[in-house]
Amino acid sequence: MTKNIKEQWRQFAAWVNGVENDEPVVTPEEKRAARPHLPGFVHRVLSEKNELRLYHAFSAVMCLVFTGTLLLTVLFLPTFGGAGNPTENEVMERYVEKGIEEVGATNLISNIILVYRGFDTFGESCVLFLAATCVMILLRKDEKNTTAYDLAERAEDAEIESEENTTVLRSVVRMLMPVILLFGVYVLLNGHLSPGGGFSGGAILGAGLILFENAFGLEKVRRFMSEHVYHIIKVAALYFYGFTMIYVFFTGANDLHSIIGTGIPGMIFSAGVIMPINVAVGLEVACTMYAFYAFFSKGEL
Amino acid sequence: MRPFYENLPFLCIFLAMLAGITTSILHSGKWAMRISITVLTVVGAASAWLLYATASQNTYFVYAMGKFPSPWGNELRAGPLEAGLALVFCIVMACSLLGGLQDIFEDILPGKQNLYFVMMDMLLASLLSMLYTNDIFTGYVFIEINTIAACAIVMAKDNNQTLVATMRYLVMSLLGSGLFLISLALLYSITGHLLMPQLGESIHSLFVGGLYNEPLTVLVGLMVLGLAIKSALFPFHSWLPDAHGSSTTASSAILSGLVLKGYIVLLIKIFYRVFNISEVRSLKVTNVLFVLGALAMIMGSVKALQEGHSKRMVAYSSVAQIGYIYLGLGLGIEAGVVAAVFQIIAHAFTKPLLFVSVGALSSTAGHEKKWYYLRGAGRRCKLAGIGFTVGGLSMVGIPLLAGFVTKLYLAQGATLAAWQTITALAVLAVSSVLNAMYYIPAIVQIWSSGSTCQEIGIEPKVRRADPALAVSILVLGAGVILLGVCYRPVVSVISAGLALL
Repeated sequence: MTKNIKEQWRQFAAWVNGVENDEPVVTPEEKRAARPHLPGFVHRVLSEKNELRLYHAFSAVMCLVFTGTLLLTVLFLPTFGGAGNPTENEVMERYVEKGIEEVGATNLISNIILVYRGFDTFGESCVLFLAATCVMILLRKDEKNTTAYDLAERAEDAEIESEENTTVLRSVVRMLMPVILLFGVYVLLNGHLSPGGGFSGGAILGAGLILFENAFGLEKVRRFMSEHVYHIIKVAALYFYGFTMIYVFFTGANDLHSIIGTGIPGMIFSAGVIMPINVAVGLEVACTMYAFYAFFSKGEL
Repeated sequence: MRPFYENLPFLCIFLAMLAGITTSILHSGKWAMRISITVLTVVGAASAWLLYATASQNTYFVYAMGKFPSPWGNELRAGPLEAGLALVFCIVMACSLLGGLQDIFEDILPGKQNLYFVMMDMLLASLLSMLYTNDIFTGYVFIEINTIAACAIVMAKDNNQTLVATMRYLVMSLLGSGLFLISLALLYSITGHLLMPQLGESIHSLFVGGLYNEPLTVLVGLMVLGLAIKSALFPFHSWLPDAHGSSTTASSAILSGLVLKGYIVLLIKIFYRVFNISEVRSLKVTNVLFVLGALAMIMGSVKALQEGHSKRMVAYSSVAQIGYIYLGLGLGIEAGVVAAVFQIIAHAFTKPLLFVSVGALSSTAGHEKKWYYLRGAGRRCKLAGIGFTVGGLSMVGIPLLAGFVTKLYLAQGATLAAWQTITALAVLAVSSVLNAMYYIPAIVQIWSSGSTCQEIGIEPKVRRADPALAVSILVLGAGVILLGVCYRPVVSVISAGLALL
């Protein structure tokens, strides 16, 4: 032990003097074998295998303790849906009773997420945008992350795709595509009247695009959805959403007259900004979903 | 119609977001950088105006996002504290970007440089929102944005080290977000509110009535744990050295200087506006934070002492410095929180200064980061050497520099604390000595004559500071010295801001 301290002191003194840097070169394997993070006595008792077991056991215990605590906490919470719960307060009351009158959408959820708490939802759309951008930073083909081997593999994939052995898939997709797109558009446009809205409608459209890519390949999709188009749609949708929100927030907070009305609840052109925003969010979501898929599988759009 | 300056927080946040969206379609990293710097300047100026307007009248205001006020709609809230921190964040972020500019353009592929600045703009938007929010769920949404952007700026360098570091950072950070979200769910189900003022009232009545004690304890624990993981409090710091030590200079500076602080500021706002400091104290949270903060101050420095890699050493020193902030919060009294907020500002200037200087110093030795090979680097890039010296001495706690004032206020606060006095003073003393033990040798090393990097075949080269680097080091260094010399106005703004919270 004393020798060890002396040794460490010597190294420290050497480091202060800047004379030498005599750390021996240790390979990761040796380092692992030495297990320097464990004190000596543990080292003697524990073999490497046991250490791993201990680690697993410890994680399992942690998980159990955590799960147990959370479940116990739930016991002390108010009963789900019970009358007189703290959540049944003036907030919920106004959303339910005045939502249609004040905002105009018969889908109360879209009133809440797009108007009452519109800022949060704009933040969420930005999360999607950021996530897609991150995937682009990580996976878009460049000289660092793509080797010749990857390129060869992708070329092989493309060759397999181009062969005419996907007849069943293609026929089915040909039949399904219009229905899927139509349904997506329906969910988007009716977001303020029925369950649905930008996020769900966009997910349907995105899924349709992914299916189409699977059946017909990237080249066919590129005819209408190249990287250029992707950028235009994404930025246009977010700009529209952002500037609408700025207008809504600015006029609302400053008590200015706003040109946005509520319309007649239940009509397709009603509920002010909700439908256009749903369309913008939907386009953004569809683009993001397809971009995720394309970058993960091909590394390009 | 309200006075125009009350629109500024909201406009700043949207300006940063729209800048990020615009930047994503640019092809040139240079233009992306110009947009980011412009946005930072504009937002900084707006924050200064806001600081002047709120501090001179000693007032705050809430701003409904839309026509529905709390408790129905999202709200922002701004007072001297928020505006002042926003100003600091803008200055530091701009300086970090300028100081790391050369490295950004070297480390990141040209096709992806604009995306790096997208992340910067979004990071700014999320930091501003976390500062200004009056709605705890908005806080969560922007924590998410912050997490993604922070991971992306580590990842942007795109080598094996940064990818592994990003993975660890992402897992730990998401764990933190998850815990925070669970605690929000619990909070909502026992109060029925998400806006801070109403939450505060409900929580207060729960405390008085003694209702829902168990969920309340659990949720406070989860919330603090979540934010502590994300701000790298001691036992949860394992992701920090990798992430901050391996990324490009500007990322390291911003992650250490600002990203960690955003979460802590949110925690302080929650402590003050959702709970109040005596309720937090009665839940014993402050005691836990105090112990962990004290451990962080010691262990972070011990780890830094063992580190031969310059950036990792500075990163470990962040663990210790975050410990100071939590120590201040853990005192559980007003004076402690004032010291903690001062440390947030002081560290926001000092750490980026150190990272930017180390980045410039290592570029004189072929980007080699080991201290051993940085011998004489200060002589080859004098400005960076001076920057490192000032920053290092501030960390040690030399008077007339920012770090000293933090220690002074922490010590003063400790004397008023309930049981923490002796421990806090002892830990402060030990930690200062430990800081000196690794910063002083490093300073000696960079100013020594001769060079050692030829041993691994790198020719030492002289680097004249380009204007961007010079501006960055001068501004950050001036900040450190100003905070150390005329700290009274800063402290009075902080106390006024905290009193208004």
